[in-house]
Amino acid sequence: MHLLTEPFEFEFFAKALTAGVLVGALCGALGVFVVLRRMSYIGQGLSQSVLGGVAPAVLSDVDPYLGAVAATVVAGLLIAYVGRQHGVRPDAAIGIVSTVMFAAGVALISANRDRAVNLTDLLFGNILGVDGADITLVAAATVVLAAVGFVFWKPFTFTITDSAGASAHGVRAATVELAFTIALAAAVVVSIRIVGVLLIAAVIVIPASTARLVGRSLGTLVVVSSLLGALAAVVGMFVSFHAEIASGPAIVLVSGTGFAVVLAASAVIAALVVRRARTHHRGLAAPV
Amino acid sequence: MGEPVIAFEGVTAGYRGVPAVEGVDLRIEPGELVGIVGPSGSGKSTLLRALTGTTDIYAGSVRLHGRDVRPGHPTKDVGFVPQLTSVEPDLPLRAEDAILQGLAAVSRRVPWYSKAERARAHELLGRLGLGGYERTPIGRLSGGQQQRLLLARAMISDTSLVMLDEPTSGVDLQTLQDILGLLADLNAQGTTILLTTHDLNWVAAALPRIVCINRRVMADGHPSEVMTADTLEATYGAKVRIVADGDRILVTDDRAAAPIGAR
Repeated sequence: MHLLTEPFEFEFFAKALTAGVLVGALCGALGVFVVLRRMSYIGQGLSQSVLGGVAPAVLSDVDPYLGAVAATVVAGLLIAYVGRQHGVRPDAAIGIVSTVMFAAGVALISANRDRAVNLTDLLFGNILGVDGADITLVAAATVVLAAVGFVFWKPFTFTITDSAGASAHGVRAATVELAFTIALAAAVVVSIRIVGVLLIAAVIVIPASTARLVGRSLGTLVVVSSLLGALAAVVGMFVSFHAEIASGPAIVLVSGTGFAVVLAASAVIAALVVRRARTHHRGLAAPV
Repeated sequence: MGEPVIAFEGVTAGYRGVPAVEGVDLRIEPGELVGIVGPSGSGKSTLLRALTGTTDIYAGSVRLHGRDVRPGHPTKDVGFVPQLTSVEPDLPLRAEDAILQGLAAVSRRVPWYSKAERARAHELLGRLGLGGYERTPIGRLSGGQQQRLLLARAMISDTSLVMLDEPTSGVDLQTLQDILGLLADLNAQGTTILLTTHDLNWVAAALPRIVCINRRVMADGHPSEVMTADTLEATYGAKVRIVADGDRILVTDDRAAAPIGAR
């Protein structure tokens, strides 16, 4: 019991846990649609692009967070635009836009070596440094995106699963796709402080992929993926505290372990089903 | 003559600046059942996409229910059945949810569908021979069942126009006959139907009106007028032989009816 209560003796832990749960649930829900659209690296791409905004912001004495917001939104719109062009696949668009913006950020920093730019928090996150304003921001983003998702669930899910079909049935699919990109960019921006650029793809993709192994409907997938994302944050935070490892990696490792367990269980269940079917058919084929 | 359901006037349309059809004039009146035939790449699907606002229009006008169709602006009161190959088989969608998507643009802004909407989906599933499959993931349905599911999705909003892109492509003979029967029933109830097909003998020859397309309209009328050796050669660039089988017309290879290896 002490293992569960001890961390709460430290004020930062409750804040970090709250932020982690919100980010886990938000990224888990959006991740379902990212995985379905086979754009698993868009989270990684958007977060890498952040450096293209943070570097000029720091060098211009502007809040780096504003630079991150601007870079993520620009990257999201560019990925959506380039990915729609003839002969460019969406995964290539992610790779091109994110690496070019990342390179632009690195180039700016390297050209201004006299200015100190601390990239550690940006790359790895600093969940233990989360303050009340960060939690308010993540909570606001979660509430707004959940409300939008609730109201536009039908046209949104139709577009994500069959964009051409949705458009032919009167849904403004292009607008819905743009809104999805902006929602994803918003989720990435509010999550960077918590998990960092390098691990954000994991919190988007892993819970959704785990849910995909067990869910049979879109609604179920979104609920299960959100819960898994939040659960990974809770377990990961406790592991981080007691094992004294960084919280971002701990959350991702817990999430990855969950995926491995569910994958193994699915494989075992599938093997048992096949075995039972074979036994049944052998029984039918046996001479009387 | 009243307002046509569909009116193409001098339409040149295509994708990314490259026209796929040029100077198309075509009128379809309410209650008609029309098939568009032509070789691959002739612009059959482009005509359907022009009607759904998902292709670029470079010249002329496309009118649907008397209103101009604008590219990028989705159209209303149209049921559309895409080619089966455009459906991802492993989507986490149950059959009834897939059908209900046809109401996405007009249903209430909540994540669930009403009892009446679900009842309508179940009724359509039963009518299309898919009763009992309501909660089955679409990936577990056969190609023919998926095709009927897409037809149900197009029908659920009670539209007065249903368009189908290659509805009988890749389905077995029984399913093909089922689909044609369903379309005939739907048409008898007053729904205008426009479909594209590669199948001249089973599908096109059975329709009351067909339009031959090869980037432009090559011929338009009853199969007995349109399906001539000259017209089909002009449309497809291949020599064919027309065989009368009672009221039906059969299109066959112009060469001797010997096995391919024996030629």
